[in-house]
Amino acid sequence: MSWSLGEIGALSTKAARGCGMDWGLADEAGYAVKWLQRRQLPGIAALCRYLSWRQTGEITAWPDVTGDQGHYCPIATGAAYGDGLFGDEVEFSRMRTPLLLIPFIALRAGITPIAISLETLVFSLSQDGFAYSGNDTAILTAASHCRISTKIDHMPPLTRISDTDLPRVPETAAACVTVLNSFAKNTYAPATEASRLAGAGAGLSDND
Amino acid sequence: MKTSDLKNGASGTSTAANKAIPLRPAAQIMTLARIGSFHQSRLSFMRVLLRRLKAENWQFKRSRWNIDQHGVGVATYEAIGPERSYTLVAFAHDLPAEKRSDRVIAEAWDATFTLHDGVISDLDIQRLQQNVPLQEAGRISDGEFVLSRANRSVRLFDYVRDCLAAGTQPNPDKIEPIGYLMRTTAVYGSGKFGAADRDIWANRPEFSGSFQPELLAVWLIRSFTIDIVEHMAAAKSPETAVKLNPDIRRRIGVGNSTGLGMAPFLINHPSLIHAWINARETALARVRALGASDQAGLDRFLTMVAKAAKNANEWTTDSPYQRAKTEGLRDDLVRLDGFVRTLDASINQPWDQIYRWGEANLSLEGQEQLVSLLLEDHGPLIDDLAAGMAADEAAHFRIDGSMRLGELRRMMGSIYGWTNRIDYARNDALARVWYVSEEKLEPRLGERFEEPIEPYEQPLAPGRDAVLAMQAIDQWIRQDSTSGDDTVAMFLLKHPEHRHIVRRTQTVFALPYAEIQDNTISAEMQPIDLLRCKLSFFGASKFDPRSDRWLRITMYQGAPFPDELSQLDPDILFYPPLGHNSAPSQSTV
Repeated sequence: MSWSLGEIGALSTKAARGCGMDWGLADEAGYAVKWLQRRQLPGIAALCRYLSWRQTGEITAWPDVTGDQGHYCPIATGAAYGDGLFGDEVEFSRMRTPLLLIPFIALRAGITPIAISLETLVFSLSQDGFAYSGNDTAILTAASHCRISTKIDHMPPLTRISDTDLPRVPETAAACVTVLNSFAKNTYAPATEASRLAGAGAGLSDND
Repeated sequence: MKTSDLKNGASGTSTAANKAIPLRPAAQIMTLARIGSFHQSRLSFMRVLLRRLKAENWQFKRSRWNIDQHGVGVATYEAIGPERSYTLVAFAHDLPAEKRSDRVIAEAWDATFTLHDGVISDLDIQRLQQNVPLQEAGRISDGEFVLSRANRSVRLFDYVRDCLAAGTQPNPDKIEPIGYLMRTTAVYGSGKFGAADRDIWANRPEFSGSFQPELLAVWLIRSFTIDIVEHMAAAKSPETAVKLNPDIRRRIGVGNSTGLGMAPFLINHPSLIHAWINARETALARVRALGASDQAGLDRFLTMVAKAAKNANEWTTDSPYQRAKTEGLRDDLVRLDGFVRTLDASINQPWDQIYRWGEANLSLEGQEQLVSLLLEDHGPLIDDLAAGMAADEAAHFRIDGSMRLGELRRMMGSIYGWTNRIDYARNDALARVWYVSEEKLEPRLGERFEEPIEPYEQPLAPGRDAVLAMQAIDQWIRQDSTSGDDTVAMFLLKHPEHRHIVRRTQTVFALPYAEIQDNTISAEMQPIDLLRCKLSFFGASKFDPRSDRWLRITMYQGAPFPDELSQLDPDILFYPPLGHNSAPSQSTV
């Protein structure tokens, strides 16, 4: 059992919407998860953790000058970064599930490579690929300070992805899929007897 | 694509002596009533598929037929191309009559199918046997591209089986108005239920264009429907049973019931819809720009008109909406025939004259039928356009946040100017809500002011959403005289609720046929217009609405079967063959 990337992207969008994100941002969540899973990074786990936290967590909006309350949403902040709202050098205190920010930084990692420092972890992105230092547990860190910079001392060996080799989302993601499905459910209207018939225009027999 | 490309598409074929023909403007084409009148054409995806399979000399074989006398078992059909092979796996079931239930709540079917990448192994068949019969409740893999199911037509299947069992052929008059032995109720592709992501096969030349794996599967399903009825006839009466006569067999296609699940597609894939309609409009402009024809060319056109009239006469529906349109079409085709007979073949740009007469004199249904007919005889001139009927949708996803807000506002005002004629303060302009039902996970349409469904609304009303965004931008700009110079990125940080319509605006701005210029949530909206548009691009015919939100169609009726593709021209066969007394002037109106 495995899932296609398209399936997981669509599920991620619905789950984000089900957690209250506006449609345009929910689409960005789908983009981010697909980008990560395409590179066999745990995007679905990251979104699962972020949306679960978001049920009760306090989100702050940029620019936050209030001190130490709340966390930045990696999807909204990432989308704004992708829109070009921030310059090449920018820092965010308290970025929630910062792995979800990486796909948006990648949008601007063209000719100039970009490094993202997440306390114990550094992500490097260029048009050729990506790399990160640190272990697989660290990339799913719940929250951290985040510094984005084009000043790179040392470019580590990059992982490249091929156009033709599309990974699946493996069985190990089943628990995350279940959680995202529970969030996605918030976007579905409960059926009533009237809607069951009228909503789809049934009633006429199709037993032809 | 830039807008300048549009002009090049049409002007490339006209000579200096001919008047260049511009593409028809989007404001004229992109209304629900017009796109809901489209007909299949040379550029429809079924026809593109069969032309390619024939040109590349694909071979076909039924590699397994393990079906018992009750009609239960598995069959496989291989399509063998120059580089790759594909296998349709068909699971045949013994469905009790009481389970052959209404489409909306069905959980069991007479037959279930998947299209497998390559020649299939017995091991893979065992895996699929556990999943494909369950449809949405099962899982397929990246070795499969399509998931589908079908039910027997209770109007036709047993009748044909009994005729064949008795050693006689079924009456063509009974077959023609129904046109299928089995009817699919879903044909899923592109990563659904575990199937391969589209990117896996998108660059394979045999699948260039749109929906080619799905339509390959449907074409092979058609062969299965014939094989199973012949098998059941032989099981019933092995001594007397006969096979279907090839000419009668060819008039059997595959049915399809399509509901609202398909409707949001046209709104959710604007760049793709532009590619489809732009190709069709470019083809029309190329034909209209042709300088001259001859009497033989006009005669061939009249033959096509007669075939279309026959098709219209055989097109039955209980839907008052479609029946009125079809009756108008029959009348249109009689008058079109009469007009063309008055034409001198030597006039300049005869096809343009015919088109312009049609635009002034025919119903929308008739005008769009005329467009399809004008394309029929000009394959070498237009068939290349089929390759462009696809889109890289990911390329349009990223928002240009550096754009000045004033510029975005001007773009929105330009694209969504048509919303000026809609008063969104009125309840009937907002009467509908597109939502997804928890029960079937399918798009549905509800009444905003009568049901508690607004919190579940899907973003499928671009006109309404653009009006709201323009109001927000106007308010932002009014704050001070320089705020029009603020960037889109700044606006979206404060107004994420407008992000999806801003993305859409930037996507559709250079793609004139990307946006339907109508209110998709009004009380008067006919959802079947959306379905009809998409299905016409598939190549479907005989649209038979069963309500305002679902319809039956026939696919591949008349088309060659795999065993005759090398001898027959599929393009000639997509309209019914002419018998005696079939000229439109003599037909029943």
